[in-house]
Amino acid sequence: MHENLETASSTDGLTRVVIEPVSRVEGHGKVTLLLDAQRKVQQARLHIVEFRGFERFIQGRPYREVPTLVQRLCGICPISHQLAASKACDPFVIGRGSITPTAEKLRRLLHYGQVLQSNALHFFHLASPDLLFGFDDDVAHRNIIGVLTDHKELGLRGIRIRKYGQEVLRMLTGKRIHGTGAMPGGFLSPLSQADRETMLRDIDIIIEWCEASNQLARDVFLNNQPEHSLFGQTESAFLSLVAPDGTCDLYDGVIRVKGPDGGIMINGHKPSGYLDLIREEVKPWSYMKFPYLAPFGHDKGYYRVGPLARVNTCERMPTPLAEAARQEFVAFGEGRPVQATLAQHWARMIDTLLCAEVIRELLLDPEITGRELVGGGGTPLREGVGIIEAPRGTLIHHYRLDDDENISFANLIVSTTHNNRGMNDSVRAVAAEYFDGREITEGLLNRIEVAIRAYDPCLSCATHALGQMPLIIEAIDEEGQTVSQLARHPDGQLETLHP
Amino acid sequence: MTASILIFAYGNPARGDDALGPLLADWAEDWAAGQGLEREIQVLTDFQLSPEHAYDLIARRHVIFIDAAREQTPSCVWHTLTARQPATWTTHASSPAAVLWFCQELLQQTPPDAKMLSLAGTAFELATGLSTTGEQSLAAGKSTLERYLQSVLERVPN
Repeated sequence: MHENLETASSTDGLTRVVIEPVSRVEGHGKVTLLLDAQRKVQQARLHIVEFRGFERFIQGRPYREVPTLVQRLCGICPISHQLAASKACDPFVIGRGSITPTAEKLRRLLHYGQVLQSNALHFFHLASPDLLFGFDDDVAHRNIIGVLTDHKELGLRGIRIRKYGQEVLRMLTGKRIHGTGAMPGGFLSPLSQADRETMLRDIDIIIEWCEASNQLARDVFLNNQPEHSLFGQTESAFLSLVAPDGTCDLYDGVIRVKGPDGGIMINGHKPSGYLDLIREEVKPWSYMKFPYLAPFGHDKGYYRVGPLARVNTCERMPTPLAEAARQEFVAFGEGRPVQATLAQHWARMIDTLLCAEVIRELLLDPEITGRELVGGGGTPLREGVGIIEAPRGTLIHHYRLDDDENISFANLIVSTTHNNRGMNDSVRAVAAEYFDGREITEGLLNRIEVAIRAYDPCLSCATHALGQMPLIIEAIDEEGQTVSQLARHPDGQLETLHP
Repeated sequence: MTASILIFAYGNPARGDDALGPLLADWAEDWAAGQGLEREIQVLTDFQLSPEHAYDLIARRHVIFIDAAREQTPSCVWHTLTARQPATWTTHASSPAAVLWFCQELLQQTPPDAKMLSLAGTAFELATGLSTTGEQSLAAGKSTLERYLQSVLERVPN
């Protein structure tokens, strides 16, 4: 929608504004804006400035190591990578067969626990300050500390929902991180009756809190119309996995794409055929690729993934409270997919409610404590594709083996990459709407970050460096000289610097 | 029963010297098992610190946070931590002082005596091994941690 702002016709005489790094997201990215003399935006880009190279890193490794190794891609959702890799490596063990019913249920429990904790982190820790206090609130207050101070009960609920999800992961994998749960061909250890009862003890209150959180996200969105519908506006198709009957399913299924008019563009597409569907465009100014739907070309093939896509593409939720929430959401769209960038928070909390309900269903299933965790084998294959709906959207792992059963080819498309174009379009929409002709303030800059944050992007993979969180805005005159700088220090304070 | 001493290491094992925390945690776990001290010492690792880790501090007497550090000259730096409210919040990750603050102010629990063990690293890109600096830091960290644990254990009632 706003691709005219991807590249300015000429950069002569334009002022450059840099937001680096983008805050309250995972990883390192920056935004550059080029403004003309009238402060109209001529170019806006979200750059991903870190190169991962993880695919090359795992080539040559034994495939049985891969699900453990790929967990290290991400500090927020390592289990998503473990599960996608395990699914992709299943054919190396069981060919075209299926893993055992108990193994699949344990993987699902692990996955829904993972999405629950990651969504809680995003909504409560990172997004809620903007939603509760407004985009122009004092930066020193507009953060999780402010939420915990002003809305202590709400903030603690968020922390406890995340804690619950993390405990699910710990009980199923033995450790909080680097544990082993899913593995090629099945699941490593059975669930003990004691751990099952521990999880069941708190799940009803978790569901209650998730339901209340969904209502909060809904009310914030609906009470701020039309701004929250128009903010960062973009229009795309939506892609996600669904069960073959169209029910929302985060662990397994077929690929469905719904167009902006509500029509189904792709239905029942097998995950193994993802390369027929997705092309990745490279741009010289970003390490992250720009995927599009190959059968529809660059323009009509623009799509987004994530909770918003999941709620938009499915026909129903498999659990009652999440289905009631989905129907409210769909009613707002009046027959078309909801496109609003900020509706992603509402959709994410429907997603979270779904996770809590599914966790309860799985825990009440007698098969969840079964002992048959591997088996169902067929003739092993040498290529596999695993796709799941990770917290931020569709996650694809694709591997091939050499004759020594080591990885000879790896291709990973992570959720944030799918949304690269969407994030850039939302940034441009905000820049065009709010920046044109105005003085730059922290509140204006925050709007750019709010648009990016709505996608909950994971821009890198759990590298961390304490104290390296500067944000510097530079105004450059027509001769390319820096005329002023605005710095945001790690404590959130702004300081005007004079070169 | 909750172990009175918690060792909490954080870092990404796939990021070269960022693995220093988890590697020292592995060593500490083996050391505690070798001494028959599993009930007194619990070892936890994570990629990053975040507010919910405050729950892990409840009912502890001592906590030792371990992390890799950039731009640190000594191999191993040891210092005492106090609870401190973060001035703001710009990342997914929290600091050890903030986790102590969450424990104290939000959970209304007295935080344990807290130490920070920072291990110098120089290479944080994707890699399976440590740099030479990292290897030296790990060795220094082991002896520092062992000395501290032995001194604390002498004071911990059975």
